[in-house]
Amino acid sequence: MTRFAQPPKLSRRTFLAASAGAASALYTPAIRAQGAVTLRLMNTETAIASIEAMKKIVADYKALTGVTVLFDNVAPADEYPKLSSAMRSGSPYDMAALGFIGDVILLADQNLLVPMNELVDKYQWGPKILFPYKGNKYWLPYDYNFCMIYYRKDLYSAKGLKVPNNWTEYLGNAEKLKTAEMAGCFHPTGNTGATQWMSTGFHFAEGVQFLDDKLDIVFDKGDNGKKAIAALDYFASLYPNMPAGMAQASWAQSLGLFSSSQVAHATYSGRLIEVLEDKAPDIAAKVGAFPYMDSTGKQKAVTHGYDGFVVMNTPRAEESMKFMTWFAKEKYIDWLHAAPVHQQPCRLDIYDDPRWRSHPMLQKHAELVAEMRGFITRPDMTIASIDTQGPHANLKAAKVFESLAFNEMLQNATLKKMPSAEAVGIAAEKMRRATAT
Amino acid sequence: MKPDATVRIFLLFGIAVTAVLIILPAIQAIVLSFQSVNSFVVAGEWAGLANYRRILGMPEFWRDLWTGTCYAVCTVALQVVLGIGSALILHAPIRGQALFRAIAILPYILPTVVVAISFQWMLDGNVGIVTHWLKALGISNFVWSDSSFAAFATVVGVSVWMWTPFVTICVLASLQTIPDELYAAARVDGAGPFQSFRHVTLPGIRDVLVVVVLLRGIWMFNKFDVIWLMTQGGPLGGTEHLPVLSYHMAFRLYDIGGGAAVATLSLILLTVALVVFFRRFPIET
Repeated sequence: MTRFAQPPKLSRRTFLAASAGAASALYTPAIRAQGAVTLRLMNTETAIASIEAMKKIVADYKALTGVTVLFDNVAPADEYPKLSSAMRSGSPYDMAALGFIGDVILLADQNLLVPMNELVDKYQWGPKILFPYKGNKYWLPYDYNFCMIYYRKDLYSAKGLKVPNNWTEYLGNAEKLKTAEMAGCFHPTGNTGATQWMSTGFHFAEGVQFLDDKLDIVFDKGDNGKKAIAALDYFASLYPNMPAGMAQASWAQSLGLFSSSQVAHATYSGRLIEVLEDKAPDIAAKVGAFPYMDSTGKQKAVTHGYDGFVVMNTPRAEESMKFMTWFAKEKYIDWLHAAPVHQQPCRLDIYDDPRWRSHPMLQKHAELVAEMRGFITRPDMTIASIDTQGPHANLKAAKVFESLAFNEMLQNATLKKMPSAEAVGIAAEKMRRATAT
Repeated sequence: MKPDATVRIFLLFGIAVTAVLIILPAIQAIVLSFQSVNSFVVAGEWAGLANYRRILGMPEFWRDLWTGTCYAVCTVALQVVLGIGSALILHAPIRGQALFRAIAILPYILPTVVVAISFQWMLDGNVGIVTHWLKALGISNFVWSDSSFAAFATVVGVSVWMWTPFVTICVLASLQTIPDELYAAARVDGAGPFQSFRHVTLPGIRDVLVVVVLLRGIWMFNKFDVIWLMTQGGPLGGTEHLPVLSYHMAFRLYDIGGGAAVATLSLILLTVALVVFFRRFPIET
């Protein structure tokens, strides 16, 4: 015979006592933490080296000041939802690393950020990085993340090619290097941020503007529209030289295909060098880079994927600012060294700092690093991205970026073979709809 | 404490959890859909029906509604057909039945992100193993992401692969409740396998099927993760449906009111579909 035990009776007293016990167990750490200062930081640099660097930085700060800095690692695409939900849940972040100026503007508009003018003004900065908004500087930038075009010097040498100066030369090089095993160039067209970063350079080099001084969409207007059409025609002519699956390609494919010699030109920031040094060091030694170019060879462009820290307007803002001040003075270079070539400094004093220059990878690739530094000083260089279009930082440019209108324009031209004029017109209309609200 | 008091406590707890986690957020989303708001942090401005007028005038809304409906219908139909088929096979007395049943469930217990990324790499146009197989068969120019239809078919295929085991499990459980005597009687009456399936099996699993189709229909219409992870709605909007549109508007274009309006319209449409479904297929009690 099977005996079933009677379940213990749940009395009101037992229920209340258990609930109180559970609540106090959950809340005890919070009560204990009130005795010391604890700051929360949202980190969007999710590479292992960056996370390790941040661990070391906050540990050093704790040892120095007793202040605990807790940090979470969040994918860049989720930075704004994560910040918002943290605020709504009652445990907001005190500081955050952000990589999208639209988020900075939105937070500033809601009085959720503390201006960082005093700290930022202590240093000299390169162009197109501070994005002042309504008279204030709301972030401490740390890198440019320029997207450029990489090539293999050994392949160029074998084919007798020279670094291209205009569209015709780049297309010619891509065609000559294309084989059954190797595609000529890599410019994605999918619905990801990789497309806006890696495939807008020809438009910017040609001088295409998305917004005018009044923040109206001018992508398809007048001479600007003609330039946009010409750049799209050019992109479509490059397309047959690209690997299969550009409508799905993203950052990882650029790294993977170039490091496995399946594409002759790749687009990326200095991260590509770091990956090659790790996965294909033999190729790393043979790599060079050049900016995007216009049709005539007179103008060049790199697209930037900048990053920086903001201080949130929380009751601990003063403590947060102290941390950022210490970080900028003592740990900025350590942070940059976590991704030494990828995180190209936007603070000009860094370039001459022996501590920064001493990193072995920067020394090994000194020629490339000098080329990259030239991007911020050359008079023929345009530094641009869709989300920073317009005469000043604005939310409309961010919406144009997020509308994916540019991505779909490339897809229309390459997958549907739509005439460029029509594709540009459709994209401009989509941008107008996205910015209407 | 009396037993009915214990029941009341747990009932109240259940109602409280449902209210906090489901009803309140749903009400808040509906309220947001009547506001002009670009952040979850600050209060929005009352906009009346402006968001709805705007959304209903967007060609993307109607395109995404059609895409989402096709996606739900195709995936549920295929899941049901394949789920019944595999349940019938697993119900048969074969050697290694337990092992086969365990293997059949595997896709369902894998995390969606693992499945989506695995399929992305397997189907990659350059290094994907499927691409190599196709090349070996002489098909060298198939790239799943280069056309809206191929991308749509791919996300449908991945969704079916992943969630068919749910149908299989439910139908298999239901098959085990059909008495063998019914099949024996059908055989005595001269029924073949097809007639047995039609007149014994199908009526036996009908109620389970109704619930399964209902649940899978709701889940697939609202399915976000697999599409977002694989295509983000592209190329050319070919795989974009209402959940992706809602997310894109709310979290990318800072148009939380618009995103909430899309979600609310989606809820209304789904509710209407459910009412029609229940009238057509009432669950017998």
